[in-house]
Amino acid sequence: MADTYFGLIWVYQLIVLPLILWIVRGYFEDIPSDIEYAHRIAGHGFWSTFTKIALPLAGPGIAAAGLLAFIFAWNNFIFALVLASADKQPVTVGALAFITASGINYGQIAAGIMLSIAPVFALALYAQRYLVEGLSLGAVKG
Amino acid sequence: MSLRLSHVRKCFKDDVVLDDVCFDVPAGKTLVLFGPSGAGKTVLLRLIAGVIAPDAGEIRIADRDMAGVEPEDRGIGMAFQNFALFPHLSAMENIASPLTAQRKDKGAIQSGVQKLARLLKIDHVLGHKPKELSNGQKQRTALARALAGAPRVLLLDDPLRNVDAKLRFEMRLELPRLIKDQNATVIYVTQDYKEAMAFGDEIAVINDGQIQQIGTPEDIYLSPANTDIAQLFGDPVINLLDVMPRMGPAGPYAIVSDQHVALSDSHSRVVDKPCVLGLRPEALHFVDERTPGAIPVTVETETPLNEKTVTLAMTARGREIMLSRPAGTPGPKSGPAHIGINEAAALLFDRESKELIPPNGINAAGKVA
Amino acid sequence: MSDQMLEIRNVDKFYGPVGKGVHAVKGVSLDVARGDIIALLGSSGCGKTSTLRMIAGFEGVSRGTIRIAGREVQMLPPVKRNVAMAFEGYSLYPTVTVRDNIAFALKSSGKPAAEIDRKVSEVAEMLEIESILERYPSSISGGQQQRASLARALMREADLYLLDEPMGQLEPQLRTLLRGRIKYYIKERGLTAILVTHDQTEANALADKIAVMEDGEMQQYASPEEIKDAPANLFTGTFVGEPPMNVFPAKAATSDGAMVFSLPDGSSLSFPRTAFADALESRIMGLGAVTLGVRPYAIRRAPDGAKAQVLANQWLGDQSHIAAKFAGGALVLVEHDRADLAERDEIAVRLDARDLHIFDPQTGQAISHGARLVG
Repeated sequence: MADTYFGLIWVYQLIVLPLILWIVRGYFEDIPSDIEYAHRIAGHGFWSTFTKIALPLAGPGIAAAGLLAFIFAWNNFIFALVLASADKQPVTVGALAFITASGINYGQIAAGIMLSIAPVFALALYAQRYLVEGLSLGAVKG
Repeated sequence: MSLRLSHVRKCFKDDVVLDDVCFDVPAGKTLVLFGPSGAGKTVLLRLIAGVIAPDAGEIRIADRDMAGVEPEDRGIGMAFQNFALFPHLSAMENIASPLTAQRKDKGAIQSGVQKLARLLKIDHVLGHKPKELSNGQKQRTALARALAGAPRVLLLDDPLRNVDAKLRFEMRLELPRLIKDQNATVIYVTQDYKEAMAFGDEIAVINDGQIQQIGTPEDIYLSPANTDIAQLFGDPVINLLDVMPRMGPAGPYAIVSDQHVALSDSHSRVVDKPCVLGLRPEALHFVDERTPGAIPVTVETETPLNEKTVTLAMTARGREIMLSRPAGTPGPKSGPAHIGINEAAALLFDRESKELIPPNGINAAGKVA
Repeated sequence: MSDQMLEIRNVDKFYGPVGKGVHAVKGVSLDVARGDIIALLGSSGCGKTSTLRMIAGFEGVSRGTIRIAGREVQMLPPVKRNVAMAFEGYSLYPTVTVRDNIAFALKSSGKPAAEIDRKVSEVAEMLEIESILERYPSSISGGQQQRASLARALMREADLYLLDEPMGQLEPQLRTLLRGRIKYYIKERGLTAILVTHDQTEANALADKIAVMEDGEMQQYASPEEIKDAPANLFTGTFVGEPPMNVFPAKAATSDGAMVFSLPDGSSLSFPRTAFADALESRIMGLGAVTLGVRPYAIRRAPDGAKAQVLANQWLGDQSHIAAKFAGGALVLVEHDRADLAERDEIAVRLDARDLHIFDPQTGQAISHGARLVG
């Protein structure tokens, strides 16, 4: 498992899982139980209610959790440093290579950072519309 | 389809929210569950819907025990007090939900929804999401969704509570007809006694988790089982006066402000026992001071309420009495006056147990299980 | 000293910049005479609470002036306006008992203990909260907190008493009992009070005059009787009154001695021309199309009346509400006895000319009430 992508992914998953559970659980709990009851009573089974009602309504929460988890994993340094060798290094560890005995290559570090931000930035832009979408606005009378 | 509950009990932790609830609604009839907030009405609906399970007792729909039957298999339609619309779906998809569950084909779903929407006057907003609907439209959408699957049992949880007075009145007239056309067995929950009387073939008065009286609107209004129920039905509220019935040559009577109020002969068994005399405001009227039995009072305030005028008066002994009369009929606005009592409409209750002492000797609460 | 306790002149409220923000109150003017109770009545968002909060000083006035007891106050902070307010959201002091909450203003004014006790028991008895006087606000119900808050406001000596939905949390039975008592209490002491409510029964029961508000504008400011008998426009006419006023469109024509209104379903109502003053008749004929309104309790069944078919008959204990198919819509009438009618029964109803309210269908303004031309 050491020095494989699989091992790295597995460890990252372990450290972000509590974060995801904590956020997503809150969103699921915020769905008024009457809305789920209404779907059941209308004649739909438990799984149908989960996929058609609970999942879409918790969508913004899942998107938020996913984004945070991605950023968390992307920026992680310590596990990658310990577990990964040179050819499997993530960007955080890779940037370290620019600090050499002959000096620190600030230009290249800055460029590396810019590149490393790009995917997070793109994902955040994409996920934004799911995040903004209100949870259950107008479903039940406030 | 008939609905029968026997000895249903539900507790949350140590809190008994429903105890020994029994009733029987014949197919196609409407039972109104009436009671103050916190009485256990909503819990009872959830038990019938099957989203929570009773701790004891039995719920039967069409004579089939519902224990272990999932909500989706019970053939129920339900409208929630808070509407509980699916926020991410359009009004159309909301209403269609029971039909998609029945795997109807697209055309049948379309026409079914259109028909209901036209009936409820929401066909122009079918494409809107719930947040774009007004309160009245939300309420109608929720109602349409409850009706769409042609349910055998329809549960309506105070559906008119969150709409304005004008719409509530219109719906109070329309809804009973709509329900009758559906031919479903209906449980209707409300806190408004006027709605209860307008809708119910029978009314079950529930308080503190127990059913206190079941009867027709007439039973409940004219022979309430106890003073609590008497106070819940009627606006303005019934006058309750402490009395001690006495026996006279012409039969038993009660004394109100030194004047005799004749009671029914069968009330002779409570002579010299502490009682409460219940007088509905409409059973009292202003009379000339020479009228025999006229009770002198001082009028404190007069309140014109649309179709009637309500007067608050004080007897010589400092007891407050409310009278109502049709608007436009004459009456004193203030100062001294005399009132007469329609003795036939007087109700007598036991002061200790608060229970009705029926004039005919039959227990008015006879229908209570 | 002016005999008007409160004078509001052309008051506007904008949430956001003046002229651009949300225009919550639009040019409201009203006077309240010393010793009067008035009600601001409207549905949620109509501007009634904003108006009350401007009088109390919790909201700034965007434009216009407010005078209390002849003193211009719109620039003064709440404490300097000499007003007492009972809040919808109670706001009792949580650290002292209900008794001390109610007695607070009396104690700080240094009244003798015996007098304070007497006054507190008096108001507590009126509001049925004697049994909870020694308890703390957190241990009593919402309805009790609301009554304690009302008691505290009534204990203060102020020019003006502001009551924001004072009975909103109470059970209906208690509400009917207390409205009579509160009115008596206020009147007996000659206090001036402003009540905000969405409940027209409460407004009718308590107020000498009602200001009906909708969409930030005052629709009518008049006595309950006048609002009932002479609603200024279609909004007031259909908003105030329960059951609501029946309205239907009609086309007017005169023939011989009769004024004939043709209804959407092809039927018509005919009244003797003598029932309408000449000026009124020419006004109606000038419009041609009008909206007719008639109160449910002004309609009576009479053998020679217009035909209608029963849609619903609901007995409510002390009255019956009957809905009948009429003029392409539904007509509602109220009877005080139990009506023995089933669905689809034919009935005949009589509408008297003196019970008609006629409105201009374009502007919604009332033209006449009975035979009286407005204005």
